[in-house]
Order: sequence, then C-alpha cells, then structure tokens
Amino acid sequence: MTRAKTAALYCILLLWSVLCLYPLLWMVGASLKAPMDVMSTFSLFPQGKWHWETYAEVWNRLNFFSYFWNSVIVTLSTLIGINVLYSMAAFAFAKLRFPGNNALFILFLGMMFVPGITVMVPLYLTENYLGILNTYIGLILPSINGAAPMAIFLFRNYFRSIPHELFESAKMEGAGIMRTLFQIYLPLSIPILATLTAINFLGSWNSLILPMVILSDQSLFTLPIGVILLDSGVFRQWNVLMAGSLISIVPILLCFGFLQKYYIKGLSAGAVKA
Amino acid sequence: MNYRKAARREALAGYLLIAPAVGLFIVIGLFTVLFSIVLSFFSLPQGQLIWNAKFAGLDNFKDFLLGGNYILSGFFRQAIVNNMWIAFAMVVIVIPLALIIAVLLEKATRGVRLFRTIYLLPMVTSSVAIYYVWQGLYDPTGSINQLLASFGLDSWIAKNGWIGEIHTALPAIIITIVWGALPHSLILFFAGLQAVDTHLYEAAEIDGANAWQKLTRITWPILKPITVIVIIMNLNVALQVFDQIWVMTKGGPAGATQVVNVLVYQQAFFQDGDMGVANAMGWTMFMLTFILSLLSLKLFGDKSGRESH
Repeated sequence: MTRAKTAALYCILLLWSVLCLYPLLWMVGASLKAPMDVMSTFSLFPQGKWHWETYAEVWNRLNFFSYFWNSVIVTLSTLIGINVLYSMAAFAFAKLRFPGNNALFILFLGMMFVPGITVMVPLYLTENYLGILNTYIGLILPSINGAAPMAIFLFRNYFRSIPHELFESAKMEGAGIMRTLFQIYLPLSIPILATLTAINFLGSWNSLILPMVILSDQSLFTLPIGVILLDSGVFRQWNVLMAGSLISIVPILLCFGFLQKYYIKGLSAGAVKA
Repeated sequence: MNYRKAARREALAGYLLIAPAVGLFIVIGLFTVLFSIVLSFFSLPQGQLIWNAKFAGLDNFKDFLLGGNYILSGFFRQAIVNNMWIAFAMVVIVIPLALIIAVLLEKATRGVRLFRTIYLLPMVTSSVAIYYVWQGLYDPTGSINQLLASFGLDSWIAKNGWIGEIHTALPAIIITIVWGALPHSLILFFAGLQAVDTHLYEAAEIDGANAWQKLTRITWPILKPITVIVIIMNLNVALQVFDQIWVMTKGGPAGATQVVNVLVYQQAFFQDGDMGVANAMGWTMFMLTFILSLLSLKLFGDKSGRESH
C-alpha cells in the first residue's frame, strides 16, 4: 500500500472508532456535569467543577447499591446454573446411550426459535401459580432455560471432540459418571465454559424485558430497570441518569477485557445457532 | 446378561444427568410455549384470572390482521411497516458497512486488536444505559442539533428533538439499532476474511488473476455463507426489536416508531389489553420471521454455493 492509502485507511478506522466511543464518552461527561450544564454546553467534559458526588448520591440514596447487588446475584446464579445443568445434560447426550437421546437433544435445540416476548404472558401466569413471581428464582430459571440450546449444543460438540479413550479409561479406573464429568471433562472444557459465561453474562446483565415482567418489588430490581426508574421523575436529571447508566455498564467494561476473546468465539457460535 | 445390566445402568445415568435440564425445560420452556399457542385462540382481558379465558377461535387474529378491531389493526399495520423498515436497514445498511469496515480492518497492520475492541463496544454496552445516551444526543438541545447549529445548518435542526418528530423518529431509532447491531456482523465478516488462506491469493496472482477474479473466486465463496447467516441474524434482530424503542420512544410520537413487540407488550401487560391477542400477535410475528429466514436461505443459501463446486 502507498503512504496515502495507508493514511486514508487509518483515518476511516479512527473515524469509526470515534463513532463507537462518542456515546460512551458522552455518558461519562454528562454524569460529571452540573445538572443544567448537560444539555447547554457542547464540550464533552465539564468545564468547571467535576461533580463526582453525583455517583455517591446515585449509589447510596437512589438504591443503586441494591440494584447492583441484585444484578450480581441474578447473573452469577444464571451463569452457574447454565454451566452446571447443561454440561451435565450435554455429557449425557454426548457420551451415554439411552432411548430418546437424539429426540430430546433436537427438542432442546428447537427451543432457540421461540420468540422471547411472546412467551412472556404464559411465563408470567405460570410463575404466578408456582408462586415464584417477583422472586430471584423467578428471574433466574427462565434465564437459565433460555441459554439451553446454545449451551447444550456447544458442550455436546466439545465433549464429542475429546477422544473417547479418556472416557473408557476413567471407567476402567472405576470413576463414576459424575466424577468423570466434573473432574476430567469439565477442566478440559474451559474454553466452552468461558465462551458461555461471556455471552450469557452480557445477555443476563443487560436483560430488560424479563425483569420488567417478573419483578414488581422495587427491592429486587436489577440495574436496567433501576436506570429506567431514575427517569420516572417529572423532569429528567441527566447527570443522575448518566451516573446510574455508567454504574450499570462498568462491570461489562471491566470484564470485557478478559472475556473478549471468548465473547468473539461465542458470537460465531451463536451465528451457527441463528 | 451382564451387558444388558450395564446398558440399563448407563441409560439410568443418562436420564439422571439430563433430569434437571429437562425438568426446567418442561416447566419453563415447553409448557409456556404450548400455553402461549393455546392462549392465542382465547380471549383473556389483561389482569383477569386464567379461568375467565373464553375460546375465541381465530377472532384474535382477525382483530389485528383483518380489521376486526379497527384501531388495533391500524396500530399493527403501522408496527409491521416500521419493523420492515428496520429490517431493510439492518440488511442494506449494516451488511455493506460491516463488510467495508471488516475489509479495512483486515488491511490494517497496527492496532488491529485495539480497533476490534473499540468496534465491539457498541454491542456489549447496548442496554438501557446507552439508549438513554442516544436520547440525550437526539434531544432538542442535544449534541446533534448543537453540531448542526455550529455548522450553520439551522434548517436541518429537529426542533422537537430527533425522536420527537414524526418524520425523523424512525430514522433516528434505526441509527441507534444499527450502531448497536453492526459489531456482530462486523466480527463475523472479519473472522471470515481472516480465515482466507493468504497463500490462495499469492497462488492466484502467480496464475495472473486480477483483483476482481480474486474477489469473486476466493473471497466471496468464503464470505457468502457468512453473509447468509448475517442476513438471517439481522432480520431476527430487526423483527424482535424491543428494548431500544421501549426506552427511547415507547412507540411514539403518534406511533411513528411503534413495533410489533412493543404492541405485544402493551397488549399483554397494560390496561384494556387482551393477553390472547398479545400471544396471537407474537406468534404471527414469529411466523413472519421464520418465513423471511427461510426465504433468505433459499435465495442466498446452499444451492448456488453447491453449483460453484
């Protein structure tokens, strides 16, 4: 490539970077401005004082500590559930012979076509009768179930790619099925565990409609609806809203560094799923 | 005898291992899906108990598809049209743009990983938080209007904000959706381009192939299946869109950004709605998504790919 071409190439790549970053920077800047400055000044960051105290207000007085904690509990339980439940199921599908093996596997995969919002009404009614509406469990169970097709598919394929001799020799040594799975196969499946964790962490953390339908008790709210709640006043306080918004995505930005590689893998695997 | 015993034990172990997953699946997955399909043929006004449901046959579908309920079918038609515009943009804007950026990124030699990380950010941060930011940018006094004013383009300014005016609201929402969804297509194209063996290009050059021949004979055969996946994926995103609209406009102004899923949600959980109609609408949309996906598979899928071999 000529020098001019290289320069043009990097100009375009930088321009696109600016478009990707600008909303995020605007969020940070707006959260640090005085309330009336957010819309009146064009400069991205506050020109006078930086109002860090907005964060303290949002975190303490506006319950963001509790929303944050709820999001952590729900997301962590969902991730553990997905990895435990579906590694077990996929292990059976991949390694054990039993009547109905294939049919059940296909039934699970078929669930990926189910449209999310459509089943919200029956889910709401069902949870109401089960008495788990408006609880953590009521939020966690559907989140786990929603990840089933992709998780079972990825785990099963991965377990099948591990030489079968390993399974046989574990059996010879007298290891039970559970031990073979959790002490031999799972430690070998770290890439799949990481991929599923990365994809579902984002899915669960950013999920809006499910908590909107399931939760009505404000003390159980997760971050996305917590942010919407900040906007329920008569007029919008942009600095407060943006501070809450930033708090809600900081964990994503922090984890993204480690998880990026696996996230990208998951995106490609998810494409197979689509 | 021993063998049969072992086989029985293996089957038992298998069932025990899948039991938790299947149990959850039956209660939360299968049951709600069947329930939902059944409910779409019943009338159940919002907030009423399930035993008040009355069989309605195909009336729910008639209500919003054939004008049985005049107001509702008007809303539905507008929502479908808006969904289709979003779907159109998700194919005609996202795919070329993602492909161009992927090609440029592949050409770059330095900072590729940093660029890739930055380009992924819109996707991973796409959530309520970011949709509020876009609302701020589109505000009457927000960055976009300020930018236009500073260039002296006062006639371009949207006085009620970009999502506050009927003719700019949908394009503005589409920009937000495209911004958040583009990284997925970009990453898939980029992965595809990286998978092309550079030796193939070298060999083709030695054989005297020109740039066009390299593109059509080497690059495209690898990118084509990815493009099919990207089209189906993006159609799905466009037809199932909810979060952006809910946070930014709730379908307004005057239905200019109404989409089917927001309509479904309002029917299901707002006063005067009917949960049966909500389910019927949802499954109609599902059928439409399914048919469009199959059509794209037929149009761009396997068949012509096999012919080239």
